[in-house]
Amino acid sequence: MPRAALYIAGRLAGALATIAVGALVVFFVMRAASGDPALAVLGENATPEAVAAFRAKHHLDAPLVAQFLIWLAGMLRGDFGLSLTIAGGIPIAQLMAARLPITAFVGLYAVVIAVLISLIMGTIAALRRGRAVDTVATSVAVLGISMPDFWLSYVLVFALALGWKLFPAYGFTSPVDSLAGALYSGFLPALAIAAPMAAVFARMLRTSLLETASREYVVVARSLGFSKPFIFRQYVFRNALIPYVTVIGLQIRYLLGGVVVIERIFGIQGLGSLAVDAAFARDYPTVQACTVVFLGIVLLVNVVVDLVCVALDPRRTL
Amino acid sequence: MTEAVLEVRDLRTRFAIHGASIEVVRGVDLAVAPGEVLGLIGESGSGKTVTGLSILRLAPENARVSARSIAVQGQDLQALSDAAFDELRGRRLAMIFQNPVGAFNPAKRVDWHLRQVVIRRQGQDAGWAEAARAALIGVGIPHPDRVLRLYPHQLSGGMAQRILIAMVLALEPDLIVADEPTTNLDNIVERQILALFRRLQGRLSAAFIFITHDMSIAAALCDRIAVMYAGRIVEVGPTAEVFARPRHPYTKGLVATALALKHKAERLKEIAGELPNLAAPPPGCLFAPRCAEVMARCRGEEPPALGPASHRVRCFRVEDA
Repeated sequence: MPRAALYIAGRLAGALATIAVGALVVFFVMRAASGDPALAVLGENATPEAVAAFRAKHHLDAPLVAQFLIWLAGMLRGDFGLSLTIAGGIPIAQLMAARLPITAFVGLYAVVIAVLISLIMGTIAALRRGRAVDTVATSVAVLGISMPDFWLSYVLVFALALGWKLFPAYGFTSPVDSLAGALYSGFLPALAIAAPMAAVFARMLRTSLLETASREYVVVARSLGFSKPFIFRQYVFRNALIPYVTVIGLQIRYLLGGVVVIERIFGIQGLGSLAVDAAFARDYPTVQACTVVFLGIVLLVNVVVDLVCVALDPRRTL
Repeated sequence: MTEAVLEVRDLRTRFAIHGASIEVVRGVDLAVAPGEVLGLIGESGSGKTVTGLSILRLAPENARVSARSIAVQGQDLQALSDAAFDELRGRRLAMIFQNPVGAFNPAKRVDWHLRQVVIRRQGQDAGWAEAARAALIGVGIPHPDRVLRLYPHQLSGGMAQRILIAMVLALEPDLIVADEPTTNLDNIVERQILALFRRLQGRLSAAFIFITHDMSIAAALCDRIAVMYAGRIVEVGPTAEVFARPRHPYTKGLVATALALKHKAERLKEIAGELPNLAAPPPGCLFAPRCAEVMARCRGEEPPALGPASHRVRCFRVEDA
């Protein structure tokens, strides 16, 4: 399909331009922060020679614009520069490659949990509108939206890890080592990220189902004698999915903020904790690289969600 | 008249709106014979559509429908459970709607819709593609293969209405309620769809209830006409007779307006006034406040259906004649 290919190429070009602008902002904001990274890393008593060598190694002696262009050109080749602090200057690309699967796994795990919970809760609430189940589900959803994820994490840890000892309270097995281990140890963090999202998704699905159910085509379908389950599946649910998926796409950006916090709480060695640690250590290039990767993930997810929406809704074209 | 396909006695539909109860259909009697087209005529808000929806048990959730009897071929539908009624719809009863574009599943193509109809009719989809093509050709769509691949949003209003009619006809119901099927279409398309209905009329054995606010459409299409006003049928009789000798003052107004339109009269004689407030209906004849021939008696008691069985009128003036 040449049109689809053209569309994806266009979106990728747009995403690259967005990333470039994002990189520019990140770079200059980081540089505007006070303090010399060389002194921060080497300590106040570093010899001038050591400081000079450090600056040359990390291109810190070049003019700012040149530094930015060097960084940008490097990223195009997949070279994100060297960490200022970790392992005496390990390539950041290598650091991120080890951590990206972990964060991607936890994030995806959270999305899957949120989608499953919301599909069930939203559908039940819509089908039992106004009854006790609906009231309970809607109230729980409001609670879910208003609970901060870090607070919820502690509640989950208290109840499910420390109380019932069902899940580990801390630590995470990488999916690269053991998928089962990752699913088990990642359940609590994923649930903590998923719960507020599930609440938003479920409410959206409920509203969307009720709105679709009142459409004229549902009355027409009934007049043709189609069965109730058939009408619910093929007319109501099918068409309610379109706004639902759109909302999921919009929520993904909040997911990343959740991942950063939750990784710290559960001691998960992902991109989020890398970014936070780097920020504390004034490891500017690492922070920059993580931010750019986060931006890339958000843009990628947006493209995927748009493609799913196009697949679901014939009125939308590429 | 042979045995009626549909016979409705004292149909009443109430809506609960903000605690108030409004009776929108106020005791409607109807009978339609096989192959007959009954025109149900009235202005907006007169209760025509709600009457159609009530017969098919498709009225909105806040509606309360009651009747002495709603019988299809002698079987009282009121005794049926909702599930049994679902089974009846699309087999013996069907409806054609006012807004054809909004009548389709927006996520599915035309062929999907026709396939579901074939499955509904015969329990499986064997030979559905052939049946779909034949159904579309039957309603005057010359290139069915191209149309079958379209999505609903790609259809024009006229095309959508033709397809919807094809779907209903493919089900071969005994009774079809057509609710203003041409109102949302432009003039030329409206005439095409009406021509289609006239062409189908001779071929079908189904009974039709054709709901419209347009007297001239009713005159061209219907065997009998039932004029509805404020939830009641005020006059019902053979089309030619109702047109030539309207008895109810409201019908007289409608006929005069239709004739004036036909002869492109400079000044339209409209029926002054508006529908009464059905939340607090006045006593007596509901048309009395707008009636040119009103008598003292009309404001006190509501006229029953008077005159011969073939031409009933709810007006005391009929007694004078």
